[in-house]
Amino acid sequence: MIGRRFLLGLTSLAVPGSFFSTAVLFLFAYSSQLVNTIGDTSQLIPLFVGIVVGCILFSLVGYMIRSTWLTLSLETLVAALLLISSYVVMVANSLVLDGTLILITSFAMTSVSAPVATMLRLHRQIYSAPARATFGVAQAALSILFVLVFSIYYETTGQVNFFIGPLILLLVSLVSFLILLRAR
Amino acid sequence: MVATFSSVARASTINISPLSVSPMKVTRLVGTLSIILLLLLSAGTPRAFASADNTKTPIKHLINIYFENHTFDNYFGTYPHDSSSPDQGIITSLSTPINLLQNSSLMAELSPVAPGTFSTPDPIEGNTAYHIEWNHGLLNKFVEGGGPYSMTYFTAAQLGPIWDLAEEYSLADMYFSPVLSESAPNTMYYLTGFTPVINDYGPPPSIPFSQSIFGELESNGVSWGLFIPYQNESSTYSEWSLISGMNNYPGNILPWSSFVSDLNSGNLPAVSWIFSQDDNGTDQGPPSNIIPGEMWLMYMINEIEESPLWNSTAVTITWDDPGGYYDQIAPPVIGGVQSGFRLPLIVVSPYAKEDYVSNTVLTHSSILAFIDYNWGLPALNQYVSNVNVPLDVFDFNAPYAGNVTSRGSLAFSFGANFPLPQQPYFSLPSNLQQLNISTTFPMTPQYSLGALPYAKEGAANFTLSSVSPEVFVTANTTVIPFYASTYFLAILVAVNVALLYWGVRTRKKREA
Repeated sequence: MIGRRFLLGLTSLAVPGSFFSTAVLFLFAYSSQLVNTIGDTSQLIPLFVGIVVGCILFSLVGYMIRSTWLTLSLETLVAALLLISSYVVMVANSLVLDGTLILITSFAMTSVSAPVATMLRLHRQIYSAPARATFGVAQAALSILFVLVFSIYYETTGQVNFFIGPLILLLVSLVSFLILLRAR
Repeated sequence: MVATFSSVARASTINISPLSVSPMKVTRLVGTLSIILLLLLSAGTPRAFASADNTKTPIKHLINIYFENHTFDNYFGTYPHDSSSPDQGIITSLSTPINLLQNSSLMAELSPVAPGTFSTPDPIEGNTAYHIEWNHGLLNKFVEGGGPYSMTYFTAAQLGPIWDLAEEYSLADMYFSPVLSESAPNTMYYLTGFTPVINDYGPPPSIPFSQSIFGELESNGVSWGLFIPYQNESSTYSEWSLISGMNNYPGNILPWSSFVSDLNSGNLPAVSWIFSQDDNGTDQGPPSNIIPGEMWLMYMINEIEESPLWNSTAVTITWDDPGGYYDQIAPPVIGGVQSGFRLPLIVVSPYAKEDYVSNTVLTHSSILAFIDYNWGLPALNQYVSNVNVPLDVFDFNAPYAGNVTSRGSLAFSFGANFPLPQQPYFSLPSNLQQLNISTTFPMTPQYSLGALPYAKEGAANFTLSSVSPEVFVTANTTVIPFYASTYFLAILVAVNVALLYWGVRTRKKREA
């Protein structure tokens, strides 16, 4: 039977973590113009492979390693370096990314999942390793789900108003953080 | 205005007593009133009449017809124009494209669309695909970028009537898509000489209406109209959704049926755009059958030729972007922007040269440059100012038979080989596979080719910047609402992080 404490951890860590990390992922895709370079369906496979693998890997890293200010700083630094490197590669290639570069870039932009998870754990960190692994998988699954839902919405509405995805996620994330902070 | 003038006149009349005013004063008063009257009358007169009729050429009506997704070589790779012979219309022996930079491996990939087939599967489209095909001007990765269907081309078996238009009038063979990308950015250059996007997406961002050609025409009193399949599509139609404020002009966005009635009643706007994009594949974009678009085009051309406005009309026919298909010419940098692959441009007009091929380097915004030139307006923006104006396709002084300088109308009719519709909305004939379309080309020239007073091929570099530095929009701006900007989203990210950080610190302090 799933304990109340586990469910509380799931809703107070994995759920807000997925809101915020997906929002940052979308924001990078929006501000770097990565999303605007996607012009045909053949580009979707490397894009989503990178996102799926990256979300799972970085979420697990964020939940499994020791949560301290030092690890948080290191994860943030690694994520920033990956995002900056991806952006430099995109600019250097005049925003023309073949399948491999799309895969690498989409993988890199999911790296924010790790520091987000670690930051949340600093707030609420006493959980067993299996529970934390479950939170990691749950955060990754929710992030992938949000990416899919907004991608379909964006495509079916004629590729307009991409900002709505990150805007909604950031506002929901803000509310979830407020609820989290009020909880004892 | 009339009321204002009346009140001025009334007040003046009341205060004037002929017995107490000297003749000098009366003369001065009459002079002043006359000037006021003239000013009021000129201000009260719609500027559309003065400006719309005041053109630099005999062309008072420009009609721009827009299709989708075919390169020049995809449609005209085997168009057998004979520029070397003065009295020979076509080269009869040309059956495969002469092109692709002698690249034998790519030549082997080329294949014609089989007779009886009127479409190809959709090649891969997009900014990335086109850049891969382009490969920095080497043009050797069409298969990698656009896929195998990028290497197909149509022939007279599908395009006979469109080739007839090119043969009877003028064809531009150096007309490039403005950017190496797909519909949205190229259409923006077609309508604004600028693009706020690099691919098919948005808004946001958008461009203000005042910076579009519609804004320039509107502010100068030149009438304009957009014609789309059905009226109720105007609110959702995407071709100009990147121009913010278009919805404020519903009276200028009308269905095809209005175009036909306006044309026949002689009330067509000075500048018209007809968008072929509909749900029935009239736009010719792959994988659609290209025949509905071809039949629709020939119907429209016949309507224009038979209308009372024919003698003052020019029609441009072009395609929005390359659609992923191959082309043999490396696109140049035009006005500081790397252009994309060539597109066909056909110009139909009583002043268009017969059987003429223009080698002038042109692009979508060249049509805007022609509008500005013809109606005496400043170049829409710096880009439009720097592109060539398509003037060499016209001869406004050619002495044709009967001592006239304009060509009479042609009636395109192909009988059962290519039955033409009787209205813009129609169903395809059921025996499409049996149509013998290749027999529709070539047509008998309207005038004997050997007697034409101009060459059959040529170029003329003329830009608006060469005559005036004036531009209508000095700096284009991209509109993104603050709530949709990356700045606002970044602030929200920062607030989220600050909140979480504050929460962690507070909890740690409490635990300590």
